[in-house]
Amino acid sequence: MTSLLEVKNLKVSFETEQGRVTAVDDVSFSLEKGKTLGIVGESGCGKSVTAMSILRLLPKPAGNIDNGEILFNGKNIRDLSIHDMFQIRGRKISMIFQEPMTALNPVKSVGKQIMEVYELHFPEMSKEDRKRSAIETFEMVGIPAPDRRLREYPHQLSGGLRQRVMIAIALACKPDILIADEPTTALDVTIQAQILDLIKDLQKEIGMGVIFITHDLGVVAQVCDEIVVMYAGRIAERANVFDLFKSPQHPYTHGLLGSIPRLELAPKTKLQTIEGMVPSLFDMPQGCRFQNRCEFVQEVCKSKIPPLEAFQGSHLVSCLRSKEIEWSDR
Amino acid sequence: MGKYLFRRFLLMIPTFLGITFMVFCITRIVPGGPVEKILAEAQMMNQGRASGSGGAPLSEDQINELKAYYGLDKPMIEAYFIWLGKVLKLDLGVSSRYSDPVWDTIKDRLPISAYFGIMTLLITHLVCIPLGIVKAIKHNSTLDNITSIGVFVGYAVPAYVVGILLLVWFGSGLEWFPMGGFTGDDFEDLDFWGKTKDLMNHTALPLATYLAGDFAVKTFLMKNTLMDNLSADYIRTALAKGLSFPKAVWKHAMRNSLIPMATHFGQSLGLFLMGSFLVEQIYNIDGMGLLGYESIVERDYPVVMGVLVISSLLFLVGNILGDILVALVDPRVRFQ
Repeated sequence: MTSLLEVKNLKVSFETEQGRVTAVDDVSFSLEKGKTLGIVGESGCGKSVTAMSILRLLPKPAGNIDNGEILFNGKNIRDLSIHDMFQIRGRKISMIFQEPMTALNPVKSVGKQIMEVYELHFPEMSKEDRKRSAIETFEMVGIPAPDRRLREYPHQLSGGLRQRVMIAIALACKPDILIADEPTTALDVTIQAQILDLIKDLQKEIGMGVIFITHDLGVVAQVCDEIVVMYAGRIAERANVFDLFKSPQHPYTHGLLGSIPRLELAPKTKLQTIEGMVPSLFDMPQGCRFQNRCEFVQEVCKSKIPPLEAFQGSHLVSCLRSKEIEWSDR
Repeated sequence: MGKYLFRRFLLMIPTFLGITFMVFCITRIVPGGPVEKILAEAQMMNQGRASGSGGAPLSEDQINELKAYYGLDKPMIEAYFIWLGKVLKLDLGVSSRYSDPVWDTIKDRLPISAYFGIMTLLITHLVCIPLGIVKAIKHNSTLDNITSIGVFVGYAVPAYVVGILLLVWFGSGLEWFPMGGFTGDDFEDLDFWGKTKDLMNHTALPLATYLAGDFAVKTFLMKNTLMDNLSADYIRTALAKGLSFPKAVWKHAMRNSLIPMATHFGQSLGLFLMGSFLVEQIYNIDGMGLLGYESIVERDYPVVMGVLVISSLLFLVGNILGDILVALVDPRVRFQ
């Protein structure tokens, strides 16, 4: 059986004034129908670039997919013509962006912005049909008084409502895949929870696969089935959500989980951090990219690139020493 | 919206009073004036006729009479309000140079400046908006760089230098265009097409001069705002919906990019209708700019004030017009 989406050995680089840099290197994962894949990592680790590559929305001409396959229902998206791509965007694969404040056009009513999707993908629909569908979609994502909201402009809506509008636009055509790029980062916690529940509910309803990009491990634990942890453009660890949270194998994942503040700790306890900085994309070390921050680093880490290997079943880790380190005694 | 506009119109009143009062006071304070001018002329005539008589050419009584005639005998504030009262009755006074009503003098010249102003406005918008769009989309291309050089040169060289150069090259050197004036001497005798051709010939160089400086601001305003909008998140949203890039530009970025253009449009309208005294001077076009300039040199204060009244009104109305245009393109601006 072919997966809904399969990304194989994706490599993306950007042309900059200081030369060519590789933002995503050898990233592979797959997404099944109705499942949620989380991509986690800190800013600049390549998670958004990965998402943009799937829709071929990398900034042109700077960004380029150098290598790899992106198979959507078994067909490589990279081979499609740009016109086929227009058919996929918004119809088969949709995307929600991080900033609901700026991701909507300020001078168009939100109704026009959602109806535009129907206009593009179902040109045979009449104006009334489009309006009816827009109202239905608004209702589906829980926007109160949808017929009135259609006429409103983004600045008249709250942040949570705007993100709901964004979700409505993304789900307007009931896509097969929804890519949510930090959809809740700009929202406050209560709205965040609502939006997460909403995405989960709609996923059940429509049966779509969701790629959830975030740096918030709490969010990941809540919504994801499988998780890809990225570090400096590479996959550090890939596992289902239970394995990852129960027995993280990569020192980076460990550090991430360790840095989450815990309720049971005494107030004012110093938060755990991962020492050091992410190496610059221009100055990537040989070997393992986490070497300068890893407490288990050895000579071999500095010369050999750790392959992404199975630790147990589908639990993959790219650490040369993962089998030697005893996490339990820590 | 109506209420807001009403408030804006009310605000025009103090602005207008401020502008006119300041200039009125300046005309009173600076040395020289119609009386001094007449005195100097009388003195010249006296010297020519009989030398050695010396003394004042006019008696004290005559001078006072002249001052009363020009309204210079009263204190500044009082004189201002007398002038203002007349303006409110649409009486701009009488030119001290021509002895004609000021309004008649202005009425003859306003259409000439307005003609150039509207032409400039039309052409700049018709050229700069598309050029700016192309430059934004093809940023850093050969076309972008070459047009940038042209536009910057036009901007860097002052209008009067451009005017003189054009006149020297195309007027005097190549003799393609007439040296100046708004129409030829035989204009009245020509048929319709002849008149059009004559007018176009006379228009070409001054218009080019007007355009040279204005191109840069408008083109780059368009280019830069469009480039800002192209990198905006909502363009990415539009692309993710399945729009092609040209459609995303046209349907989403354009309207946002026209907002600053709309602001500019209203403001430049008032400025353009008044003409530039430098350009009109160079090409000897008898428009508002030249009139204003000459009346200042000649100390023809009623005309100076008259030109000021018209230009400040146009400017203030232009500003409001700009606001209305912005409100039309930007739904975030809704006047309460």
